[in-house]
Amino acid sequence: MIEIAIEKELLGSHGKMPLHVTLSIEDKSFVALSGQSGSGKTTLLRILAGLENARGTIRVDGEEWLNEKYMLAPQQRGIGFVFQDYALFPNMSVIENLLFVRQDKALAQHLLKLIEMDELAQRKPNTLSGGQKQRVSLCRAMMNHPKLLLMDEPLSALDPLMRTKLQHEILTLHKEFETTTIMVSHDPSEIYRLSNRVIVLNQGNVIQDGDAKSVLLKTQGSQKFSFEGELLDIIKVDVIYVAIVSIGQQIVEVVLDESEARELHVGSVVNISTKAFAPVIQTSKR
Amino acid sequence: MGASFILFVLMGIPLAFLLAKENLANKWLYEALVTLPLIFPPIAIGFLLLLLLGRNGWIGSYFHHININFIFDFKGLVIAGFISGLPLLVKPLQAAIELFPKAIREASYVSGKNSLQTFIWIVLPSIRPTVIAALLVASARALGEVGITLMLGGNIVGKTDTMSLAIYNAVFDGDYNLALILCAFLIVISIGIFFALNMMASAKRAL
Repeated sequence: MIEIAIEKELLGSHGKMPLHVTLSIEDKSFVALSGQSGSGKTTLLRILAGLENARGTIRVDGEEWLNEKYMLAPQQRGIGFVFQDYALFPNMSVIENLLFVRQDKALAQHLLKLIEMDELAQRKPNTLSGGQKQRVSLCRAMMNHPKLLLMDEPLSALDPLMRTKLQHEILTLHKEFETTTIMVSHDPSEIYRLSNRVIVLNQGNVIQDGDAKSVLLKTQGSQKFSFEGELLDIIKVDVIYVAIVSIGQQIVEVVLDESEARELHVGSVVNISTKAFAPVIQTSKR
Repeated sequence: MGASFILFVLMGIPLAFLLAKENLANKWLYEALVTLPLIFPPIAIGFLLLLLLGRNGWIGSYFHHININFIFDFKGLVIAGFISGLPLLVKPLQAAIELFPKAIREASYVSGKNSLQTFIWIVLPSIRPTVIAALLVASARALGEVGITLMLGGNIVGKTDTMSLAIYNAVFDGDYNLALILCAFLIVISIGIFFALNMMASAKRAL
């Protein structure tokens, strides 16, 4: 059980902003931390790791990590941290990176096997691809048998294919070690696949907290589906108007009437939903 | 030069580590002291050190009690070389340490290692080309140092004369041949250092 009640003044995108978070996190859970950039996600993670100070308390399994007078050093917390830009030790080979944390050859080899990296054990980090680096970083974080695994957008620098592969590996590791995990992520499919709880931060405050489905699903009432997208353009074709909207990685067209066209503004975030038709789902030909 | 080199390793590198600390108190003062030999005339530094380390000096008197004298002694030459080369060692090292990615250091901290362990096992090996280059340049400076050496060592022939001072003495005595031989010797050493630095630079690029 992790109990957090912290406060810290941050310099956000709109000047000073208080970070104010009160949370309790169950053992063995996988929490996704989401929210716009500058909302305080990374700072919260760094405060949990002991890399930044804050006012308040953090209690992990009855052990005080932070209170009004005392801050436990990051070295003594027994955590694993996966950085966005890998942060591997450049002078050490893959296996040395793991063994530097703890001299446990059996565990290091087991971890590398689990993510199919055992053949690259002697390679130096600068000869690895981004995905490989992040897998090593993940293994390194597990070497300490951490009480808490913290990941700061671990997959955001990787391509979609590698992302999916690593999501499976993160899941494999989480099932095997049952480490309580907090991961910062923006990717809804990633959050849905991995987490059993989503916390959304905005301007330093928790604005949503629940399971992935209830937080991420955008439909309301009897809507069959609903997408959020950016309105790129409105084009007049004969007597009707066509809105060009970017949703995810795709561009779609939606027919508008004149009054709708007048109300919508190019550049704004819009919701596209339907009620009447059942959507058709098919395997993509690609 | 050899003894100065050992001092560089034993004192210069830890000094760079300390100066690279973000929250060091009076950092500007230490930085100014280390950089001083680069700006302040060597003869003047030599004179101030003579006052400081002399038998009646502030520091020298303590050592005089336990029978250690710096002035007009080989130890004086070592100190002269060390002080003159120090800024050339510490400044580039400090910059390399400060530029080392913070996340990598933090990854080491959360792995349970303190800042000294992190420095010795990760930062120092990672910036090795810079360390070796800085050591070479600082040692070359120590080799060519004249001003402080003259004041502290006293230019006693056969005891406290360095290569550069030996050339000065030879020219002063009119023995141009000896001066030329000594110069040739220094040229060989300098070219050696130059090539070593060049090799380091290309090895760094290949990384």
